[in-house]
Amino acid sequence: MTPATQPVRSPGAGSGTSIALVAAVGLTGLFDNLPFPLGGVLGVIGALVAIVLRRHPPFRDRLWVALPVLLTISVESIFAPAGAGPELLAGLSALALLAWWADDGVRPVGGAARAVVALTIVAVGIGAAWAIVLLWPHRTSDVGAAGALIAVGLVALAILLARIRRGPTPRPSGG
Amino acid sequence: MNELQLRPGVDRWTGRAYLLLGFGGLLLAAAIAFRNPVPVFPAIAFLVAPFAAAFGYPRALHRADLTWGELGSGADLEVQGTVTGRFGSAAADLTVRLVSPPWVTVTKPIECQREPDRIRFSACWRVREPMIATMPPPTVVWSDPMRLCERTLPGDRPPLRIRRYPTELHGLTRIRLHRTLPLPGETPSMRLGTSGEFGGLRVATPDESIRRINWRATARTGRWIVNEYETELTGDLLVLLDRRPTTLGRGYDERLLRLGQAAAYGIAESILRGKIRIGFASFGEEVSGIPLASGRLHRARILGAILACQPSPRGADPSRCAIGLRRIYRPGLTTLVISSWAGDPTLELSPYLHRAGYPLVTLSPSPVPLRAGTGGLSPTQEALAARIETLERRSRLASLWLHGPVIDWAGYWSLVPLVRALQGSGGRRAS
Repeated sequence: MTPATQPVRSPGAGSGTSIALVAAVGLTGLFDNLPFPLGGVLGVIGALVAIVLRRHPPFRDRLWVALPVLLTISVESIFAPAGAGPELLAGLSALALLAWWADDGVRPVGGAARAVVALTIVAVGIGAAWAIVLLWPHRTSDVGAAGALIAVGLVALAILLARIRRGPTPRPSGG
Repeated sequence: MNELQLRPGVDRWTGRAYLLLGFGGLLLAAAIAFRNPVPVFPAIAFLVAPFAAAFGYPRALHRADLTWGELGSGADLEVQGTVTGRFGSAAADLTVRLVSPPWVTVTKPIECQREPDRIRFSACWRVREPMIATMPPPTVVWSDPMRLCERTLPGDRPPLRIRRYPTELHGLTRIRLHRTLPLPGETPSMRLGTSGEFGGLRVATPDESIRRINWRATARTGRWIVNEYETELTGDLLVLLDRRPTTLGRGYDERLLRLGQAAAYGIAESILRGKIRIGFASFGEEVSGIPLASGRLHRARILGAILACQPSPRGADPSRCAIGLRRIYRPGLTTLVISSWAGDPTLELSPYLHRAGYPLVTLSPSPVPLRAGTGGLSPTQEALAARIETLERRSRLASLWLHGPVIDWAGYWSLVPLVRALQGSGGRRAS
């Protein structure tokens, strides 16, 4: 392999993010209100279905491949009890899904590493919301939800203000 | 222009981003409905991710220029190209999107090799029939690693002209056309070759035959010098393309016209390479023609005219074609008529053109192969139908032999009978 060329994708590429996804979604399922270990099994199955589907070339680039894991995360988080642990795990599951998405089999390896900026921003948003929930003096679910909503709003607003402008796109300079 | 745009130049969100935003919204609604803060946390990730993905856009990524070309011969078409620019590590997130034209079947999907300053791509197709077409350039799209947002990079990306015609036409430079001018001595020859009258000297190329070396001139100049000879110019050629509608319908007319364009293009390119004068005319409702000439400028003009031909919505009387041609070209000019001859028999051009004084060679792209398999018949019935259609067509084309050689072009990747007919020796041998 020359340093100039991108490495060829090996069959095991993307395994790290796949394992992280299965672990995060499975753990989130273990802490929800569903009968033990139904939540965990559901999470692992949902993640595995998505991973297996993505390994097959006809489905590799399909949008709906991520639906099983998206639905699993949604069901698990809705049935999870309010608490610092389930909240953090739910956030991490979503983060693991994004990392797994970045490491798809269509493009060269290292997608998760290249997406580190975007993943960090998302992680900061989740961390801020979790810190509000954790450190609030009178911690109730309503306050947690409100704080998290405020955190989401602030992060989204900050990004929007930084990214949106009015006017035409400047002509790129030559070269 | 005052429109809302995502910076820095992110053009659009993908389906993934909308999927995430949808799930994020649903989870927020669920959090409020069930008074449970846990769904808010994945919702944060899903709602923030599409915005955060735009942060990954490399600011140094300004443009992507393209150089590309076609390889292969006959029905096999390979498109290769290189996209250059200052990509750096972002090359991994760039995609070259090349849309396969409807007239090809994909034999190898597009493959990319990415380097920090270039992306090489190639795709293999199979062309259904000879054709001349202009392919739009591929787009170069940056998308973030999660593929949530995209941007199409600007750059210098010319379209590609695809030329596929039977390879026998390359040999047309060596043919001798019928002498058609009244005074052959009035035709100054510019065609150079390996035999004939001595025409001049030039510096030898590495693949030159030793028999052509002029030893005296070589000794005098100290360089390898070869003789050049003026070969006799034996005549000019007019290519007439019939654009009138037929009873087959617009779809078949377009495909048959594309075949005719491919043949005309191949013939014109080969003839002009041999420095023979050629003219091109097309007939729909009116005759539009380019006068006889040769040279590089004429080549560009004539090829542009061939490519610009479109099926005419209405046909016109063939006598109008003959009258129109007489205004541009002198009678006696060898004329190659390209027409499918699938329309009304009373509208056939050949009798009128022959009467107007043009020696004719007729090339007729057959619609039979195009129509094969479209009737919903069994293989046996299909073969029988094709046979009957071929016989009917032959009986119809037979009447045109009164006016000159006729080539029924059914095997689209071969034009040996046409080359023989244009060589002037095989008029009656052409089938």
